[in-house]
Amino acid sequence: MNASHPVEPPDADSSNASPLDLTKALQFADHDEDKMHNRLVSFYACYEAGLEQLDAMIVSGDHEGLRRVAHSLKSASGYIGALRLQLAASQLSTNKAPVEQLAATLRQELQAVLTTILPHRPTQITGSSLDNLPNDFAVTLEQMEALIRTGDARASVRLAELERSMIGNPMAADLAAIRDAFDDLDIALALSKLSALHEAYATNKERSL
Amino acid sequence: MNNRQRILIVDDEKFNRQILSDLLLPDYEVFLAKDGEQAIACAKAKPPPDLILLDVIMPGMDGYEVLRRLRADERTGDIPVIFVTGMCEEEDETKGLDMGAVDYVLKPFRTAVVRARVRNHMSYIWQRKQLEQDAFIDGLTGIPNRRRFDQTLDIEWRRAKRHGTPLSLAMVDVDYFKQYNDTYGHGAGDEALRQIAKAMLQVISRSSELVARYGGEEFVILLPEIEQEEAVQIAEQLRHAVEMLRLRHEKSNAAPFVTISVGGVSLMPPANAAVAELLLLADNRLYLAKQAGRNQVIWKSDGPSA
Repeated sequence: MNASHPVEPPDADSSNASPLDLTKALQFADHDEDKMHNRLVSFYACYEAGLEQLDAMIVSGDHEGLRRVAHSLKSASGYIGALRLQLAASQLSTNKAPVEQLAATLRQELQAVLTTILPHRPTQITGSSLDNLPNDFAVTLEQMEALIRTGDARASVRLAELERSMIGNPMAADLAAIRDAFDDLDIALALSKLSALHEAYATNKERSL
Repeated sequence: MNNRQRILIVDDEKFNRQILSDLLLPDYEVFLAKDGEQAIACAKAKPPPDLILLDVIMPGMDGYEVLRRLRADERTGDIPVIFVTGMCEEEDETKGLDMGAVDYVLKPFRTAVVRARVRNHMSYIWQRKQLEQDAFIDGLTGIPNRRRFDQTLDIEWRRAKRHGTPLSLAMVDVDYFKQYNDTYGHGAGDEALRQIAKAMLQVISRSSELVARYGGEEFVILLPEIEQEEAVQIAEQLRHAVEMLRLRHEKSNAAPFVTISVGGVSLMPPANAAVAELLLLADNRLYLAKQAGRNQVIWKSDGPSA
């Protein structure tokens, strides 16, 4: 079987293009707009801290770190149609020019992509209602624990579903924090946050009786 | 029972894990690892993944090293691995395939293509497992056959030697089975063997334990990592379970129904011992159980403190 070939990075002529080619992003998302939107949001969440990281590496002259970030961005940017960013990452990861110059370009392109994605991010909804918890919330948390412990990818999906069903409930933020920890595969942290949420829920329930 | 095939995704980048996970979750059970250590631990889980999608460039242990370690371990050596990587040079791809990866996918990829590739590999994997299963299952009773037993015994024997843990083996013989066949016919004999196998399976509960048909009316039980006392209890439960089937046997001198004799041994395998010695010791105990009147368990420990 031959390797699945990636889409070629754009050539230098595309430097005047928009930071995001949504047609390309849609192609990579099987022409599913929801999926594309989720990917943009996910990209933002994953690489939001990348700017500071790049700044620190540029200042400290951490060329190895810069190439590592570029290698990561090279494929990730392709999935969202960030063609200029992909080109910059590709050049830096293969070291085709002075690193400092390429790193500055990479930073600039990442910033442009993040700024373009920003309007796609969901608005945070806050509230204080304690009423919209699922009836079997404690059981659900126990099921979550088993999924998280084994690195089962359904944990992230179910936590996100639960968050959406609990909009307005402060515990939704706790669930988001657990999901973040799980998505980072920091299993110990995710389990510790889950345990704290479980205890808080039990205490609240006891008080309400 | 959940029969969905299992995939392990190994990538240090959260975004890449999410892309693959979203792609594969509708069709498979998906497990995630962010580095080599997590990947190897997850690959050793029971049941293990059917397929591993492995990134190459990761901090610490890279994908090549992960693959090397997986291949070196008998528990994970056969799990197919697909490299999913941004390393697009021909020599990178050649290296990955030479190391034993079944495929090499470059990032960023078209999801439809990767979905199809994974589906094809999973189809091969399923067919291979079916063939393996057919080759290792006794056609009459549906339990593991002698080939499976020999393979498992070899693995457990080496594991017990390596870790200094006890290993118990029981040989089981159906009492006066020739007379049973002669009296009730071979069809009834086959049915009796099926019921005996089923009854013994209900006693054997741990996934590491094995009951297999050794041949004819002989069965074998392998009990890793338990002390002699517990092994004898299990053997006695096996004997009792068969007795409780109450399969009428007029020509048995042991009881008016079908019974079994069990000979067993528990030991810590000495470094220089061969696995054949374990079989011989268990067979000797089985002989003693038959000499002593059948329908009983004879057990003895050998070697230090088993």
